[in-house]
Amino acid sequence: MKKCRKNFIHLSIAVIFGILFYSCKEKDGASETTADAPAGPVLFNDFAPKKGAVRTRLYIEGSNFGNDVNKIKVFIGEQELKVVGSNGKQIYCMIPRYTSSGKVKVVISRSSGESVEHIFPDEFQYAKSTAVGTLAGNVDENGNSSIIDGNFDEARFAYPAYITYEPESNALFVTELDRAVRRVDLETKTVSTLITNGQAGFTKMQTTTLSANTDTLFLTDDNQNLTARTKVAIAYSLRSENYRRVHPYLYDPAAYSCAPHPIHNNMFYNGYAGIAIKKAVFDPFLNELGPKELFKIGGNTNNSSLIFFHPTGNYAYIVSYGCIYKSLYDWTTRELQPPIIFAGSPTAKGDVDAIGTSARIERAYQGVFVKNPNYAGQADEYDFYFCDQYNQSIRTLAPTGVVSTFAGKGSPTPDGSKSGYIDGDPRKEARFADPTGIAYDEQRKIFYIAERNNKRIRTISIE
Amino acid sequence: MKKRILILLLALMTVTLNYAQNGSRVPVTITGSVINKAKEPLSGVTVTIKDQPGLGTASDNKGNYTIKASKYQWLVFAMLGYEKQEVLIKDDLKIDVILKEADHRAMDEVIITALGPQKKATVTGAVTTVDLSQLKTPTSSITNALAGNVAGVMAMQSSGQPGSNMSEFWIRGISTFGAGTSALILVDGFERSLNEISIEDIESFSILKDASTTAIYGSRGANGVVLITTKKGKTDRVSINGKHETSYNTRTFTPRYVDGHTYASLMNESRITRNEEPFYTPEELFLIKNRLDPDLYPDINWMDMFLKDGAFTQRSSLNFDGGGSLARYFVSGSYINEGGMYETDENLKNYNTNANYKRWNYRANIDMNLTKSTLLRVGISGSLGKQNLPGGTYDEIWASLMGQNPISIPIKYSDGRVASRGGAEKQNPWVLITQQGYIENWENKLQTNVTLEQNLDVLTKGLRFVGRFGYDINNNNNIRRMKWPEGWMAERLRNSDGDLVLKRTITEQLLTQRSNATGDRFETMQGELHYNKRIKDHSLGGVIQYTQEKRVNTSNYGEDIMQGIERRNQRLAGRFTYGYQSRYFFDFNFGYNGSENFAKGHQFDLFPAVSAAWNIAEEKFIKEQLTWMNMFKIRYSFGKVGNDAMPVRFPYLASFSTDENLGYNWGDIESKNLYPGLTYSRIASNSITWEIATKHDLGLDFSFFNDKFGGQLDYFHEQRDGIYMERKYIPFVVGLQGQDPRANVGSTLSKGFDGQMRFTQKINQLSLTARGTMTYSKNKILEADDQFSNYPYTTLSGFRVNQNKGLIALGLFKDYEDIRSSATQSFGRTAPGDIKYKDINGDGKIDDTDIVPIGATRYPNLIYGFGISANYKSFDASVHFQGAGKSSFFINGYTVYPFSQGDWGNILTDVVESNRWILGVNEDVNAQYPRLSYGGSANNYRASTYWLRESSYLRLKTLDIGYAIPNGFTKRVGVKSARLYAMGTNLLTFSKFKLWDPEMNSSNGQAYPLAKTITLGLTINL
Repeated sequence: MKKCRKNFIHLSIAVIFGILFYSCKEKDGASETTADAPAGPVLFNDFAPKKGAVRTRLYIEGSNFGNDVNKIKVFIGEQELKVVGSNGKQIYCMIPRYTSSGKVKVVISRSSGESVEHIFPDEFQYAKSTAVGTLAGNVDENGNSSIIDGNFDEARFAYPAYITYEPESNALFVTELDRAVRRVDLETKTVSTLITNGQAGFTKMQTTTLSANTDTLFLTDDNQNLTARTKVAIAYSLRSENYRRVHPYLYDPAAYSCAPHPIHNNMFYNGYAGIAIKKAVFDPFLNELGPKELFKIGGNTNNSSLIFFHPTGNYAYIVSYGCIYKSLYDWTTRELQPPIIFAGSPTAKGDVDAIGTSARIERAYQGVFVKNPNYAGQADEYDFYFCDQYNQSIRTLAPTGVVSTFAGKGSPTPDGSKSGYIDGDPRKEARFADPTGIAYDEQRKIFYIAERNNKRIRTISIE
Repeated sequence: MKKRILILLLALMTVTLNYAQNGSRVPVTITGSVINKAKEPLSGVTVTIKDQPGLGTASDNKGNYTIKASKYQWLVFAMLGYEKQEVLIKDDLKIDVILKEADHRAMDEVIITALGPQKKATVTGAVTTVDLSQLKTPTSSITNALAGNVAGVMAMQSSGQPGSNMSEFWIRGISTFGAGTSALILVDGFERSLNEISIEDIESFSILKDASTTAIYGSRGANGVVLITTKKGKTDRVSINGKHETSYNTRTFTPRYVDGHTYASLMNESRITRNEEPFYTPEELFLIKNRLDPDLYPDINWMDMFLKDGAFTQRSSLNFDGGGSLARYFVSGSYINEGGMYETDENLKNYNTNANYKRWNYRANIDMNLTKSTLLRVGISGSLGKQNLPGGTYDEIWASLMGQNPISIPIKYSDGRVASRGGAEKQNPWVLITQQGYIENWENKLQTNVTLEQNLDVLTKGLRFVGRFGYDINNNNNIRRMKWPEGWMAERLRNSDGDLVLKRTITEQLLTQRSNATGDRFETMQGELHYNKRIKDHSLGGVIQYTQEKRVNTSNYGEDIMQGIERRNQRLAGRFTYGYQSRYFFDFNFGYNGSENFAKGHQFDLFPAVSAAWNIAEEKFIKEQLTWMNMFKIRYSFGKVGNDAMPVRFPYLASFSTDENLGYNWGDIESKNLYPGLTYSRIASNSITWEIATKHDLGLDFSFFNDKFGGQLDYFHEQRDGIYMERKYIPFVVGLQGQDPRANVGSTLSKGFDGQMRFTQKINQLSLTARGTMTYSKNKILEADDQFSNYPYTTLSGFRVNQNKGLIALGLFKDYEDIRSSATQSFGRTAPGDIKYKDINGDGKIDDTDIVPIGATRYPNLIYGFGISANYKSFDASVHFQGAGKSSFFINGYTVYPFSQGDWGNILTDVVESNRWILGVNEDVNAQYPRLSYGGSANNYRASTYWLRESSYLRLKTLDIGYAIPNGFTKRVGVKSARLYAMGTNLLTFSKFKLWDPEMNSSNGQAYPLAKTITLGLTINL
């Protein structure tokens, strides 16, 4: 009996300790990659898809790949792909830019030090597609940037807002709003600073415009004057001088944009109060150009506007916030006529693709006329591509007045945001952050887009 | 001078005389045996020498003992369950003793009432005496053991967080919507908190429920009174009791959430079903399912990742008591360490971020007989409680754990950067729990009390004076040391090189600190005169008590003079009892209370109560005819008590402020010359006073068949009047400038019953006890500050306090035809699968006027418990079930309404597993979840019967098994007795509601889950 009791006590103590040292289930945090080495022999089954463009997700099927992506390398021809993930049975990687077709090779290093290599018999076919890409620009860890010159990997932009393409030297002029004008040489892939505030009396640089024969670059400045004509409003520089020297063109209060007529070369520009659209006329008494106010748009609002001439010179679009006005050119008086509202609304803003005044725009900025081959033979063969800054998209305005979205706002996220920095398919994937500048290289069919928030120059082209 | 020397000499002589006497004592060794009536030897009987300190000895298992003593001393034989016996040592050195089994009779049971102990048979009011052996909880607060164990108490535990896991409780439910609903808690006669009391220190625990027992507390007694007395030293050998418990806490319910793939598919469904584009392409769903991109589609089970399987609680206590007839002491100390459930970072060495609670308690009660008729009791007790918490607040952590969906962010990105969706509750739970510093709350309580009892038999027999003085201080300190790393979030897709594009969502916070402290002081002074007299069959008693209390808290009030003033109370209370032949009893109690919080003329009030009892069992004819009836007592009480809990200090004083808009503009050329005017910032009323409860209580105490079956039943009827509340509907023409005055206008009525029953049976060596308790209360607002309404159901009056109100759902819309033919719902567009509501007022429109009282209240209105305990030889076992009912609550929030806040809010597995309305697949109009919507559906997510849930439950509250280690074994290691036990708490819960613990009554589940606990313990008695 006694022995029995003793046993019972021992048993109870054992139970106590058993419960005390009940071990908790091991949990592996997702933060730590479990570097478990593949156990058995590595098997390769196949890869899919067999064909794709940039950003295509490529999967390699098999077994015992291991989970450590650092130990897996995938190549197409000589091009190494980024391996994003592996669950042992599937390897997920992405097709980068400038890939060419080739055989898919997988190299997996084992813990023993040796590595397993496999080349699939099938070739991966690289396909071309229209995609949004990144040309130049960079930000630091905190999303900050400043004006830094150098090659495309090093160069940075502070606040790129406006962009002009110069076809002769294959270069871009990027206006860093209120700060500087940068020159992006597409041949040498370098970025340099052409002119900054303070130089040549500039106060707040706004836009650059190329003359029709592309040899003169006009620069407009918000010189902070409201009435006095003491400061330069429009200046110019010449290709023949490699754009290094700046000459005064017109003294006037602040100007935001200018547009030389493509045929007659008369200069139209806009001012501040009431957004007066002016024409530069020669004043024989002063022996210089002087302003002639043509009309005001948008009532008495003090919003700025931008003027873009149609390549034929028949009309100009005047873009101001949620509204695009159309002003016809009078070939006899050589003046722009008071405009009509062509698309959007000066009061109601929004994001609606529709025709004419039923369309809604949030903040239209720079635009560019692009020839549409589908319109061949029609009176107007050009579409107007423009940036809608707050809708984070590139939109088009057809000659008929139809507004539609061309690029941006892709990759819908659950949080409902539209902006971001994502390359890829223009509508499905790509995202912009405050795009305001757009230019077009007609020869190579590349759009260049300046984004204020991403501080980058993006491209839309066929890759 | 000469006289003084003489006295001194005399005193010296007495001392030496005493010494000489002691020295003359002859040391002897006494042996003998102890047996019971059945002539069985008794082992473990303590044998001590009276009035001599020391451990004494105990009889062995043959009942034999040996002790060294002196002649003419008294030997004391004591054992639990037997009557104490004292024997004088004379010449015989062998003393054999037969101990008589203690006679336990319901008639002799003693109940602790407001003015001291009283025989149960003579009590006329409603008092529940808590059986301390039934109060079992592995947590730090005994409040968690009240529900279902104590008749008349409704309790509810709403959080399981260590240090915050106490239950809220109400005596006979909530019967007012005024400021205070909690009971007055008195420990040794002083107002103190219940949470810190160590259960081993409690001598008696009673609940005073009706007017007759609480009237003496006058304006403070309306919500009932909890009376606790702590243990005192006994004239006995030193006894040392030790106890240690180790508990392993898991959770009763852990809300379960879907995995990443299900989440993404459901999100797509919520978009598609409302004609919006889906967010995830089939290819992305493939990536999520195969976990191929742990950065962009991480698939994390946050709850599982950051909640451990369980945590340990350690609890130990040690107490000593002993003493002689001159002085007696009880000294105790206890320690508890409750471990937190969070999965914290083991690498943090310098500080801990888990939710822990540690408390140290001590208590010393010393009773001294100053003279033959004077007793001085000194009690000192205190506690230090330290609560440690993660740097993220409780709300942030739980909102984040349940708000983060499985695929929005990983814990860290593969480049080592911390993922975060922002600050506060949008922060990564890993940061909130482990990387954001920590919070420490500590609470220090010090309680001192002195009681002087003077027997005044000299003046007249039966007269006694008791004086008490208590001085308590409380300190609360809080410090939060906080920091966090910078947080990042990735763009929706990778860039063309396959790399992540990270955006910073929150900048780094370097170490900051916030601290806060508050403290208060509480002083009580009390004097009592007791008088008892028995003249033949008549017993008379009277008590007069005078009390004054003041409480002050001077921290953080700055320049506010009103708050800096001590809150004082004054009270004259009394009780007169009359009994005849232990059959008829009559009591009159009163409290005459004063408070300085009110205007002159409203500062004092009288709270009288009368009660009577008739013990039928003592009547001659019953005694002769029905011998099985031991007690059958009918009681009735009626009286008034008050509730002076008041949110406003000095409600009769108005306060003023200046306001430019009400100023005078003496416009000048250069200046406006504006003089701001004075206006009321608080409107006062002179006649504000306390709310008054008029209580009736009809009760029955019974005990039958030799006290085998006994119990207590009470019916109560209580009306509260003069409930202090804001008057919101005073017309503007009165000119009060939008200031709502307050007045004593509310009125409620609550009725209900409570009772407990006990049945004991002995079969050979097996003794069984079955118990049951039940408390039910239903209240109704009679009068409240209501505005005129055409619809009687929109008022507060006529319904329960805290009544749930909402729309009545008729199921889901079947099709568009159904929508067209139904009343127009004015909460946005509806589609088939959306909730259809009932048009209560028949105006063809569903709007806020269709909101009606539905269900009951959030708080339980019915609490019950039942259990059985058994003893067999050295083994004991008990089972206790507890349940609650008549309560309901709305569930809401982003965890319940899928995708109501977009991708913020995780999805409960219940959404997938239960019957959900799916377009074209399951168009069941009675589905449990309506048609999904992304970003919330104003129509579906309203308080209505659709989202109303019953919170009734029944749970296996405790199950315990104990084994008393045999004396033969314990004696060898010098231990008198030892018991080893195992206890399970909250092991099983039965409820219709399964998303989280129904007792928590949480509307969104965002709370620290309640614990399911397994405890192993050992008690040792030396």
